[in-house]
Formats: sequence, structure tokens, C-alpha cells
Amino acid sequence: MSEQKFDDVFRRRLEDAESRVPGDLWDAVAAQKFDEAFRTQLGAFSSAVPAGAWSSIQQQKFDQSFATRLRQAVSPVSDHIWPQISRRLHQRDRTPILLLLLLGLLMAGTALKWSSDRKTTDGVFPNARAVQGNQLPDNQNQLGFVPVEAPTAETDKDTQELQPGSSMAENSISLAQSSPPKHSIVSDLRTHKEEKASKIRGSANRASTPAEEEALIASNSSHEHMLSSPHEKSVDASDSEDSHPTEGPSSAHAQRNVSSLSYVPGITFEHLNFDRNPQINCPNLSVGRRSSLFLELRLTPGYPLRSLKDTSGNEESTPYIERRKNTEQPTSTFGLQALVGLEFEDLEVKTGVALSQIHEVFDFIDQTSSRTIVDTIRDMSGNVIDISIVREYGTRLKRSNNRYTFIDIPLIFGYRIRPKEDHSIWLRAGAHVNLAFMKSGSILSESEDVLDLKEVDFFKTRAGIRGTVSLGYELDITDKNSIGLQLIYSHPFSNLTIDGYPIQQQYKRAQVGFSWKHKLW
Amino acid sequence: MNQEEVIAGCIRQEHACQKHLFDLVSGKMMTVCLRYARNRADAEDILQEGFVLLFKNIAKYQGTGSFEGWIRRIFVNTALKKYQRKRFDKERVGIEHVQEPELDATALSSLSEQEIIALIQELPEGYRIVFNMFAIEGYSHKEIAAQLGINEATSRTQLLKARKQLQRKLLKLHSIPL
Repeated sequence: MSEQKFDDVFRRRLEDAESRVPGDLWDAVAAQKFDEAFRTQLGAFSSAVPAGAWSSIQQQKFDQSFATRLRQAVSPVSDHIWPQISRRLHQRDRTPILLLLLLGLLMAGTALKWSSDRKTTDGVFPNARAVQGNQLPDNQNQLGFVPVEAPTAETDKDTQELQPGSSMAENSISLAQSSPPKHSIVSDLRTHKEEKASKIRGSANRASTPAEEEALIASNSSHEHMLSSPHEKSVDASDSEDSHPTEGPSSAHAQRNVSSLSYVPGITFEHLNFDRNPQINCPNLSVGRRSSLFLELRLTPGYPLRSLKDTSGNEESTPYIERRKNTEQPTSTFGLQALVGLEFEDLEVKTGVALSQIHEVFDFIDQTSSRTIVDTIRDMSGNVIDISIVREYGTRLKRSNNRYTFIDIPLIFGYRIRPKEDHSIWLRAGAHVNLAFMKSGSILSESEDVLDLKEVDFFKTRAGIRGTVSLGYELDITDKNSIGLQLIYSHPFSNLTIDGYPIQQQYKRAQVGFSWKHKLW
Repeated sequence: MNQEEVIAGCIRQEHACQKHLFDLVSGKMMTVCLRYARNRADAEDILQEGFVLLFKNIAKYQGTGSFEGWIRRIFVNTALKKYQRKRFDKERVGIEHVQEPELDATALSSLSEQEIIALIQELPEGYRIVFNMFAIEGYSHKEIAAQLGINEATSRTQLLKARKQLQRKLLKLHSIPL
């Protein structure tokens, strides 16, 4: 078969043959034509460019040129920068200490002020309790105080005029009581004395006989004497005369007698019938408020409640926490506090120094431990002639007592309920600000190596603040000493681990407190 | 020491890791501070403050995104803290209609980085901050407005004025008459 014929065969067979056309072929051709139509229409069309487009592109390029040059640019840094940053990073926050010092100063100032007030009160009313028992002290003549005797029936009239229903002693003391400052009391007494002088003059005018007049003057002079200060007598006399220049002869006589009696030292009142056992209801003036400064020693054994929390958010530290929980067991806590405080009525505030420890047992069994024994054999001259190395595999038990030690400044406020005399129930709350935090013992690392607690760097150097609440019973064993028993709960407000470390470690404490309190005043 | 180790060390407040990170990024961050600050002394203050913040907050870095970008943001925020909103209150809002001179985008190529920083430092405070945030950090006007507590329009105005000033300075440097 010639080549021509061969081709013809194919041509004939295929000329009229029909192949299957894909269903969407016509759609595709139509869409192409549609696009072509748009292309033809819009191809040569030029739209107006928005104003500033080129400028905008230029601006972007301008910005970009700065960004490119500066984003990765490195500038030299002065040598002094890092030491300053380092110092700031490791600087301790002393604000809590300063606050506590301020509070301490405030307390000391308050104590001094109270102490000063107390001394002033005692000076104005020396041993005022003694007045109650009719036992006047030696310094009774200070500040206008003279022996006070109960008035007789003859003087009752004047006494009642002075202050109905009370004795002279009550009058003099009640005057002073109402105005504690020294100068105020003297001023009040002077005013009162002038009123009395006026009344005496009036009484003298009313006296009908010379005997009555004399008796009246004598009785009144005792009151005058009682109210006069030795330093004020001359002034008082002249004041009396000057203030009543127009009174009659009887009045003048009475005044002279009053004056003369007032000035005579060592005047006796034997002719007057004094009641030797007066019932003077004198208020307690020595301490207007029950305040005291005290020292307290407290011993606080207890049990620590440890919490180890994974704060990483992805629980990647949880296995390590479990390992630590298995190897470290909190056993006990112990505290010793030396406190100074103020009691005021049923409130107290105290501060001082507190030392406390948390004890744990670290117990770790390393079953994959090994040890290498190297034996070196030397000759007589010391030269090494043989070395034997033996490696032993086995279990190693590592046990140690871990101690976390805290030195704190406590500030504690208390409120007392007194069910009975000498018995007190105290409700207390406060805070311990940590000054120093130390640790010793062993800890497991994440790679299960046993590390010295002192070497790990994820603990803080100060433990922050913890709050305490307590309920206590206190028994007064003497006037100045008392012993107490407390149930104390202590809650930490900050972690022992540094910020950023994925495990938070805290200790709550449940403690029993034994205390001895000694009142300084 | 790779980046993860450095970060972990910094979280544990290890001095060596902190120093390593400081050596690694302080140069770049100094450039950031210099751009925002009026002078070198201010920039050093910002740098110190920024590093203290960085080391205190490094545990908050989640590991997502660029670590350098995260650090840069701390320094930018530290720099911005120095500038109060009141600095912008007195700025007049409105774009001056000034024909911007043509400037080749490669005009900066003849300048060193320190000269470019000096140019930026010469800008008034408001201009400088907005230009830095928009042109170099890539913040939008909306973000700048939110960050600085100003209007978006103010941000745009500040940026245009900053550009104009920079262009003038550059043209002057290249002795191109305006």
C-alpha cells in the first residue's frame, strides 16, 4: 500500500467521525466572547488618576526609605547604662519598711504623748486616790490644795450655797476635775474664792451679834484658806477690799477679820467641830483612761500548709511540681516574737520583731545513681604505676531537713472582750512584713538533680507580706503580768518564688501561740 | 545560648542572661529611643526604663510573634509614656496647603544612620512621635490616635507636617533650591 492510500484510509475513516463535545464548551466560548467584548471596549480607555496619587506613592517611598535605614540600625550604648539597669533590677523595694518605721514612730509618739498627759494629770491631782481615804499627801499645798475637812453643821449653810448636796472636798475636786489644765484650775479656784468672799461679806452683814459674826467669819475663813493659794493671798485680800469700797462698817470688820485670818500662818480650826470620818465620794482622777505600755514575748509552734501552683498556663511544670511534692514534706513551723505595744481601754496595737521557721523534710531516692571509684597505685617514689577505675550503680538516698527562715516586722491590732475581771478574750488581726528570707536544705531540680536550696535562684530574697488573724485568751496573773494562749492563722499575700517563675510557692500557717505580757505602766 | 535559653534565664532573673539580652538588643533599642527622644540623655533614660520594664515583664512573652518586635513595642510604649496628651492639645488641626517639593526617595542614601536620627530628633515633639509611629513602626493613624489619645485628623496633620519638615531639611542638605 502506497503512502497515499494509507493516508486516504485514515481520512475516510475519520472524515465523518464525530467526537463527544464537553457540555460546557459552548458556555466557555460565550464567556470568552463576553470578556473579549469588555476588553475591546475598555482596553484603550484611560481613567483620570486621583489627585495626589503620585504624591502618595512618593510619600510611601519616603517613609519606606526612613524605615529601611532605621529599623535595623544599631546605635552605640554608653557603658554606664547597664550598671544602672542592673542596680535598678536588683534594688529592693523598701516602701513597706518605711511604712512600718513611720507607724513605729507614730506609736512611739502616741506613747510619749499619753505618758506626758498622765504625768500632767498626776501633778494636778497628786495621789487623788488618797483623797478618797482622807489621806492627803505631803505636797498637798501645791496648786492651792490644803487639808480638806468635812464641813460641820455650822458651815453646812455656806457649803450648800457653794454647791448644794456636796462637800467642800467634792467641790474643790470637781472644779479641778472639770478643767484639768493647771492654769485653768487656778483661775477657776480664784473665781470661786471671790464668789465665796462676796458671800462671806453678805453673811457678815446679816450677823446680828459680834459672837455670831466672829463664828461666821471663823468658819468662812477656813473655806477661804482652803481655796487660797499661799502665793495668791495678798492679791486676794486687796482684790476683796478694792472690789467693795462702799460697804458698811460691819462688812469692813468682817473683811478685816477674813483678811487677817487668811494671812495668819498655822491657823487652827480646833474650835470648829469637824467630822473626822467624812464620806467623800471622790471620783477616780489619777487615770482617766486605762492605757498601758507593755512588752510581750510569744512562742508560736504550728503546722505549715504549703501550696505549689503551676502558673505557666500550659501545665508544663505540673510533673515537676508532683516530684517536688513527693520529695518535700512540710513538718512544722515555729515562731518567736518580741513585741512592744500599747493598750488603750480594750484596744491594743503592737509591733516588734518576729523570727519564724518552716521545717520540711527532703527525702529523695535516686535509683539511677552511680559512683566511680578510682584506685591509683604508686611505687615507693610516688610514681603512678597502675590506675583502677570501678563504677558502681545503685540507689542513693538523700535526706535533709529544709528550713525556710523569716525575719518579719509584725504590726498587730487587737480588741478585747472581758467576760470577767482578770480574764480577757482577744481578737487580733495584723500583718507581718518580711525583712529577710533565708533558706537551707535541698531541693530537686527539674532534671532530678539534688540542688542546695541556697543555690537555686528562683526564690525571692524577701517574702513580702502575710496577714494574720488570731483568737486569744489572756489571764492576768498579777497587776503587771499576764499569760495568754492564742489560735493563729497566717495567710501569705505574696509568693516565695520570683515573679515570672512558673511555680508559685506559698505557706499558710496554723499556729498556737503562748504569750507572756508585762505591763511597763 | 539560644533565644529560649536567654528568655528562660531572664525569667529566673539570672544576671548573665539579662546581660546577654542587653548586649543583644540594646544597640537597636537605643536607635528606637533616639528616634523618639529629643536628645541622647532622654534616649538613655527611655532605654533604662525600657530594659527595667522588659526584664520585669519578660515572663509575659508568650513566644508567639517576633521577640524583637515584642521588645521594640515595650520601648516604643516607654518612649510614648514620656509624652503626654497635653502636648498635642495645643497643636492646630488642619493641613497646610504647601506644595511639596519633589524629592528622590534615595536622598537618604548619602546620609548615615546617625545623621538621619539627628534629622528626626530636630522635629517638634508631636511631629516626631507621629512620624516615628507611622513611617517607621507601621502603626495606622487609628492606632496612633488611640495610643496618644488624639484625633486621627491630628495624627494625619502631624505626619504631613513632619514629612514636610524632613523634606525641607533633606533638600537643604542636598542644596536643592525650594
